[in-house]
Amino acid sequence: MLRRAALCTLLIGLGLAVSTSFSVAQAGEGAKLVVYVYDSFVAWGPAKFIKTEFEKRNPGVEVEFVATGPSRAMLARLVQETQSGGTPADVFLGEINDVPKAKQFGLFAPLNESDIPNLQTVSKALLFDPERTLIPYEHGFITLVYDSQKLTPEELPKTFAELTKPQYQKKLIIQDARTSSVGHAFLLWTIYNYGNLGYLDYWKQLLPTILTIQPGWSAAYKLFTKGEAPMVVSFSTDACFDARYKPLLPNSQGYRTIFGAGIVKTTDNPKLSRAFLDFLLSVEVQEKLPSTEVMFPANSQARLPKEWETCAVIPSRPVMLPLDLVAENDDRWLDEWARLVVTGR
Amino acid sequence: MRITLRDITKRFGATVALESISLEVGDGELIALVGPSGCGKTTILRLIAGFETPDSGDILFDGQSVLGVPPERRKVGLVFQNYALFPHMNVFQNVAYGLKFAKGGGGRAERVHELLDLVGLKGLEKRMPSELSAGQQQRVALARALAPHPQVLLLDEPLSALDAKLRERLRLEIKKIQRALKITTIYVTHDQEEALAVADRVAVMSVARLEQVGSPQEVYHAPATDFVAQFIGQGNLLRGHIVHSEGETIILAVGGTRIRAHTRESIPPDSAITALVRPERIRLNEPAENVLMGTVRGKEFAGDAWHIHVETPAGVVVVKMGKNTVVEGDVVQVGFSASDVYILTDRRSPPTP
Amino acid sequence: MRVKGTGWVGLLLPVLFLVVFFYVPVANLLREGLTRDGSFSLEFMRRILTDDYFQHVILFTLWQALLSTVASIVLGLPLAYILTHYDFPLKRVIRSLTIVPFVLPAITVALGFALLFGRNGYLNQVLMHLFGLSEPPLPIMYSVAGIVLAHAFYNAPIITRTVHAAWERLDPRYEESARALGASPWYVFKDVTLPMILPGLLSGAALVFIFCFLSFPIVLSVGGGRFSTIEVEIYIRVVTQLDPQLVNYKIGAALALVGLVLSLGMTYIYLRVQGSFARQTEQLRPRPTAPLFVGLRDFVRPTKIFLWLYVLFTLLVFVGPVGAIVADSLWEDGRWTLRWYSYIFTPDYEALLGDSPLRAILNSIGFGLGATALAVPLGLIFASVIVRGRWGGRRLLDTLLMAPVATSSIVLAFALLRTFNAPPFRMVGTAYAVIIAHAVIIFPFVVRALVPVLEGLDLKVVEMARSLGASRLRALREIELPLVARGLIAGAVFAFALSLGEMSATLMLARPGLNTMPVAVYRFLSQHSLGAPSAMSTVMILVSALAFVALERLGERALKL
Repeated sequence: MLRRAALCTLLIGLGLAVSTSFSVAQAGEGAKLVVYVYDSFVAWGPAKFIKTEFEKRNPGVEVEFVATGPSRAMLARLVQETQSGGTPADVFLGEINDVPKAKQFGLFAPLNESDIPNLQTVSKALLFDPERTLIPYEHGFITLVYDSQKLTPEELPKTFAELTKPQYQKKLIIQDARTSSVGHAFLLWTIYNYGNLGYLDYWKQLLPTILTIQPGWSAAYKLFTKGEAPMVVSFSTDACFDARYKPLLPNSQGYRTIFGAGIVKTTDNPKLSRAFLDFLLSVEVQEKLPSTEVMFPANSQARLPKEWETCAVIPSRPVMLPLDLVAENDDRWLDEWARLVVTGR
Repeated sequence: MRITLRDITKRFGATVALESISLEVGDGELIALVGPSGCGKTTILRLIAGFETPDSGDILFDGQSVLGVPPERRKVGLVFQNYALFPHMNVFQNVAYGLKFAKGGGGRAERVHELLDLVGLKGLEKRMPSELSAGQQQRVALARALAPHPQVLLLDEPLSALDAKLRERLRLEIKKIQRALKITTIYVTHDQEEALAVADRVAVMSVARLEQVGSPQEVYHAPATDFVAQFIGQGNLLRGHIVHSEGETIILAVGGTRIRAHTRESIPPDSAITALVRPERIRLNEPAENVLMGTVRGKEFAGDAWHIHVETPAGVVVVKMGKNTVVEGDVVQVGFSASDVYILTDRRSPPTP
Repeated sequence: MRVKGTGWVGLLLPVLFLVVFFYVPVANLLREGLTRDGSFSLEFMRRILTDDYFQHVILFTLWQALLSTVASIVLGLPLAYILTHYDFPLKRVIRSLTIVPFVLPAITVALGFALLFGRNGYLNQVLMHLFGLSEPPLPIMYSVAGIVLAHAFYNAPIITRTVHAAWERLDPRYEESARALGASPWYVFKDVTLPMILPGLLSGAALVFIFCFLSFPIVLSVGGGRFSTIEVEIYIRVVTQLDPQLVNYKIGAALALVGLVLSLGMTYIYLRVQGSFARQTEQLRPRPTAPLFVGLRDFVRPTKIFLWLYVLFTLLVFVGPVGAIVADSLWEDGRWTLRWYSYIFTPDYEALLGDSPLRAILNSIGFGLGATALAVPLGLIFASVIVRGRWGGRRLLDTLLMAPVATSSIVLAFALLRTFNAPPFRMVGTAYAVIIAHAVIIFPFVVRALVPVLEGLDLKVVEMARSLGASRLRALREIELPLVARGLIAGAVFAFALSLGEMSATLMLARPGLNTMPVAVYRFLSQHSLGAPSAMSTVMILVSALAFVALERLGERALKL
C-alpha cells in the first residue's frame, strides 16, 4: 500500500511540476495589465466596462483585475509581494487616505499631466497629494444613512453629540476602522470634530449607540437593509440606489472620501499603465461611475445622471483631515480606537 | 428466589426469537440453558434481566410479575462472555460499582474485600482490567455481579473466552460459590458438556423453542426429542428400517445387520428410521446383544480415552475406549445392548451438528 | 501496510511536501515576530505578553474557544445519541449532510444568523409578536452568545461525527452490566458510557477547540468589531496595517507564533491523552437500534419529549440559518422570486466576478478532488508509518505534522502567497497553487482520520490472505483496502469538505477564472444586489450536499462496502 501511495504521489507531483513550468512559461508572454483594486470595484463597479473597452482600444492587451480584499488589504498585499520577490501588479486603485503610507514604501511612480493628459480635467479640490502618486478618479462623501421607514426626520440626530443620546441606543451600524475605508473615514470624521485629544471620550459615549461594528461596508449595509438598525455609516449618494435610505448629515457635514489610481514603480508596462489611467479618467468611463460605483466622478467634465440632481447629496460642509496629519497619527489613532472598542476602556 | 417464565414469545422484526417458552427455576437452583448459537438462550437472559420486553407472556420473580420493572431494580447479577469490566475503573471500583446503588451503603470496602476473597483475587484491588489475565477478569466480573446481593445470577457464556483447562476449573468454582450463596442462577452456554457439569437442571433449546428440561442425567440418557439426543453428548447415528416390532422391542435392519432396540412408540414396520448409540456405551470385541462387524480406520488419543473410528456396513461408528487394544486395519466387533439404542422419533435424517 | 524499506523512503514524501509548502514558508513569516533589524529579538513577544490589550485578546480567545467547545458538545452529543440509538428515514443521508455546515463561508453563516437571530431576525420578530414586546428579547447577535452559537453551528457536527463513531463501536454489554448492577440510565451514562466514549469526544473536542481558537471571520462578522481574538488581530495587523518598520506585521507574526504554540500544545496533549486511554475489548455484539417514530403514544412519552425539544432546538440552530439564507434568496419585497438565481447565472456578470458561478462550482469540485487526491496518498503513507512505527519521537513528529491545523489561516495564506510568488514555485494564480495550498491544509485531517483505522487493522488478516495464496497486490485490494475503506472515505470526505469551504488561501492565490464557490459568495456580498450572495450560498449548499452524499456512496461502492 505504501509503495502504491508513494508512486501515486510521485506521479501527481511530476504532473504538477510539468504543467507548472508550462504555465510559468506562458505567463511572460503577451501584454497583460494587472490591476490591483478593492473588491467592490470588481464585484459591482465598472470593472467589466473598463476591461472590455480598454482591451478593444488596445488590441492584444489583456486587463486582469486582482481584487482579494478591501483597499488597504490590497495595498498590504502589494507591499508583501514587492518585498518577497516582486509583484505582478502594474496599476493600483485605492483609497487616498492610504497614500502617505504607500509613499513610505515608495511603491508608486509620481505622475504628471504630461503622462496622463486627462489629469487636467480632475477638479483641483480633489488633488490633495502634491506628488500625484495616486490620482483621484472618483470621490464621494461618507455620511450617516437612515431608513426613512423606521425614523422620521424629527427623530433624527442633528449632531454628533445628539447621536450619543440614550434614545439612539443600538440604532447605528458602523464599520471597523482598521479593515474598512468607510469605517476609517468615519473615525477620521469624529477626530475632525472632537480632535486628537477628545475623540476617545466621544467614542466612549458613542459605544452604546453602536449595534455592531462590521468588518466591511457591504456586511454593514446588508444588516442595515435587513432592518437590524435604522442608521448606518455609508455614502451621501445611497438614495440614488434606493430612495428609502436617505443620507443624514450630522453637524451638516460629510467626510470626503477619494479614490485614486497609481502606477506601481516596478511595472513592465509603464506606457500601457499610463494609458489605462488616462482611460480611467476619460469622460466615457467617468460617466459610468455614478451608476456603478455610486460615486461622483473626478473628471469635472463628466455629466451626472439626471436623477442625481435630487438623490445625490453634496454636504454643505464637506470635511477632510489633511493627509499629512492622517499619515502622522493614523497608526496611533487606530490602535487607541481598537483598544477602546474591544476592551471598553 | 423463584423465577417463572410463562408462555413467553419474543420477535425481532420478522424473526421469532422465542416461541411460547415456559420455564420454572427453583429457589437456589442452578439451571443451564444450552443450545446452539442463535437459538434464543441469550434472549431469555436479557428478558429476565429486563433489557428486552416479551411480546406476550409473563415473567415472575417469586410469583410477582416483573414486567415494567427496569433492569436496575430487578436485582440481577450479570456476567457476560467478554466480562464487560469497566476499562476505566480498577478492580476495586469495578466490584464496588453496584454497591453504590445498594440501600444502606456502609461497609462497601469490606464487601468488596469479602468478594475478592471469595473469588480468590485478594490483593489485586488496584489493578486495571487490562492488567489482568482472562481468568482473573472473569473472577472480577463474577465478584462484581455478586457484590450487591442479587436475587438472581445470570451468566451469559461466562467461560467461552477461556482455554479448556481454566474453563473446567472455573466452572467448578462457580458451582461452589453458587452452592455457598444459594443463589438462583441461570447459566447460558453453547457447550453441552459444561452444562451437564455445572447444572442442577439443564434446559435444552433448539431455535426459539425449549426442547427439554431435566437433570443432566435425564437429558443425556433419556433425551426427550431428537434434537436433544443430537445436541447433548456425542452420538453414532445408524440409519435403517424396522423389520419387526414386538411390544416395546423392535428389530432394525441396519447395513445388512439386524439390531434390537426398545421404544415406547408404535412404529409401523418398514418405516425408515435412525437410531443413536453413545460411543461410551459401545464395547469392542465383547459379547453383546447387538453386534456390527467393522474395520478400524483411525484412532484418536483424548487423554482419558481413545476414540476409535470403526467402518461398519452401517457407516463409521465412533467408539470410546479406555485402553488402546486395537490397531488400524483390525477387524473388530462393535457391540452394544438394546437399551443403549435410542430411536429418533421424527425419522428424518437428523441435521449434522 | 507494513513498513519495510519503502516506509522510510515513503515517509520522505509527505515530510518533504510539508517542509517545502508549509514549514519553510510559515517559518519564514513567523521569524519576523522574533527579529528586529535582522537579528534575533524578543521585543515583539514581550510587547504582546505584557500589554494588557493583548492579554485581554488572548484570554478572550481562549474563553470563547472554551465556551464554543462546550456549546458544540452540548449541541452535538444528543445528535450522536440519536444517530447511535435510533433508526429513522433518511438516516444515512442526514448523517452525510451533517458535514454541510462545515463548508459554508463564514459570511454566509453570519448572514444566516443575522436573518434568524438578529434584532430584526425571524426569531425575535416571532417572540415580539407572540408576547407583545417592543424590544427584541434575544440579544444573540453581536455578542459572545452569537459567536459561540455560530461556532457551535460549524463544529457541533464534528462532535456528532466523532462521538457517533465511538459510540457505535461501544459494546452495549458495558452499559447493561452497569444497569444490572443497579445504575439508573443517568448513572450508566455518567459512569460508563461517557468515560468510554470520552476518547472520541476528546478528539472531536480538541479539534473543535483549535478551530474556534483560530476562527476569525465569525468573530469579525457575528461578534463584530467589539470582539477581538488572536486571529482577528493577526488578520488586521498582517493584512491591513502598514508601517515602514513593519511593526504591526511583526506583532502579527509574533501573535501567530503565540497562537501556534498554544494550539500545537493542545494538539500534543490531546495526542498523549488519547494514546493513554484503555482500549475496550473487541466488540462482539452490534448496538441495537430502535425506530425513532413508533406511534402517537410513544411520541408524547416524557423521555421522548425531551428528545423532540432537542430536535426542535437543533433544527433551529442548524437548519434555521440555512433556511433563512434559502428564503432570503427566494424572497423579495413580499413575494417569491427566482430573480437572484437568474441574476447570478447571467453571463453578464462573468467578467465582473472573473468567474461565472458555474465555473466556480466546477473549480471548487476540481480543487477539492485534486487536493484530496494529493493529500490522501501522502496521509496514508504518513499514517501507516506513525501507526506501525515503534520509535521514540513518533508522537512529536505526529504533533508537528498537525501544525497546518494549528496555524492561523491568514499566516498560511500569506506564507503561501510569498512562496508561490518567488522561484522556484512561481505559480500564484494557477490551479496548482490552490490545489497544493488546499492539500497542505487538509493533510492533517486525512492523517487523523486514518490513524485510528490503521491502528484497528489486524495484520493477521493480511497475512492470512497471503498464506491463502493472494498476491501482495491482491491482498491490498481485496483485504486491506476494504477494511480501511470506511475510514479512508470518511477522511477523504472531510478533507474534501475542508477544501470546498477554504477561502483565505484561495482568495489570496486564485486569479479570475479560478475562483471557488465561497469566493463567489464573497464577491456577491460586496454588491448592492442583496439576494445574490444568498442565492450563491444556496447553490453552494446544494452542490456540496450532493457532493458529500455522492462521494460517500460512490466511495463505498468503489471499495465494495
